[in-house]
Amino acid sequence: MRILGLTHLSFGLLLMTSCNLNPTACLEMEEIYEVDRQYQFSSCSEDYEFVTWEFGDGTGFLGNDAVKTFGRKGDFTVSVKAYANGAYGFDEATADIKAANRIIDRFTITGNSVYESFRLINSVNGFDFSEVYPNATGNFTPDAPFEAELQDEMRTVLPVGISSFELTGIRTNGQPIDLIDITSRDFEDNLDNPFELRGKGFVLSIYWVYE
Amino acid sequence: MRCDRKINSLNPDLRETFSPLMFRSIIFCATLFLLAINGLSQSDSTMVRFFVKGGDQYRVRIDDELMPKTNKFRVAKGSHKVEIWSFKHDIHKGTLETGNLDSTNYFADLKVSASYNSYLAKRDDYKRKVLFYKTAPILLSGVSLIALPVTFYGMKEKHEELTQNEFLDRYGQTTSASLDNTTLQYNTRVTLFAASIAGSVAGLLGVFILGPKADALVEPIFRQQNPFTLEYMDLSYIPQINRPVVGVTLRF
Repeated sequence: MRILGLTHLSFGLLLMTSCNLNPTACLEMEEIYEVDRQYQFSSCSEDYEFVTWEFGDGTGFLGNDAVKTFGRKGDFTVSVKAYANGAYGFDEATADIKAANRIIDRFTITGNSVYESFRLINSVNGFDFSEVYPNATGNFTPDAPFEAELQDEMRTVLPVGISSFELTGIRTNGQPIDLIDITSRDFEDNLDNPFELRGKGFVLSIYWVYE
Repeated sequence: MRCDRKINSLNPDLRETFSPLMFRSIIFCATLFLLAINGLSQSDSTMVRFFVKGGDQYRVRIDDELMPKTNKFRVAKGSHKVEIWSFKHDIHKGTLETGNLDSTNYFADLKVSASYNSYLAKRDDYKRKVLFYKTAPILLSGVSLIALPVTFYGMKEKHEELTQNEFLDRYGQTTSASLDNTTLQYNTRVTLFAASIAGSVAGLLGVFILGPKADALVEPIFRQQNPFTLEYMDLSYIPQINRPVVGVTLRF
């Protein structure tokens, strides 16, 4: 009977310890994520029973495949915990990321221009931002494009959504000519940098940066 | 034959021919006849029926003679020495006075022997010790060891649920009532697991520590000699079947 008891005890302990997992948390993140854009994250963790995500901005997600939209910009530490063995054991991996907006930084224009100046209008969320750039006469090639730095008021946020641009050339008599028609772009799907707008022999390339 | 003749002579047709002497002879013969019939119905033995309280299967010895296994005996009228014995009882000794009765009853109340009472006390003590030293530790360790993995996995499962609920609660994705409920269930399972461990440890310690004591226990045996046949009868307690067993040992 005592041998039977010992056998049973050994079997029970073996059963309890044999199914133990050794979880490994793994996290592969970019450095920067755009504010208001919905991301889908998958952890590369192994040997876990469940995974939790903590994004450092007061939000969390339970599950290996997390869906996350950063609502504000900032520096965050994202943490992934891979749990196993009834959550008595876990491993943690962290990554520092930045959540930021896409800001229009500068633009270039290529094309044979007979105009005295260029005018760029950007419509975002119903607001128009307009700026005129002089010294616009010449043949601007991709190697030597017309370049202009944006004024602060033109350094607008590229929304995760639709934004419209309009480029006109202004003659010496002040008459504006549309070089590129009003073009709307959905920037939820467009992450090109620069993104280009074409029309009437001109190419408008708009460069953006995360800020 | 003579009487028959005389009786036949009672024919009323012949009555006138009877003399007083003949009539007296007839009366005498009739009296003898009646006495003879009466003498035949009267017996020298008595049928005795025994009613014995306290013993299932008893034996009776009358005047040192062992009687058959029945409760009806025919004995000669008069006084007889009666001895009745049943297993586990003291021998009953008494006197049967039949008087002039043709049948009578004999009542006896057998007393349980003191040695049997002592055996009962020892048997109860033995049963208690077997339960305490052997049965209880084995049962406790067995049940606890079986329950150990079950309660462990139950606790593990609930801890996983509790951890998830705590996480969801931290980010406002669940109700506090749900968390409280899960916490309560987890605490219950922890208690059950702790009880299983405690039961396993206590049971195994009991098996190892008290087991030798259980092995050293001596099974009580009640032995009594049949005073009539001189054979020995044993009554021992078998824990496996939880009942006493009677055995007979013959001594020659």
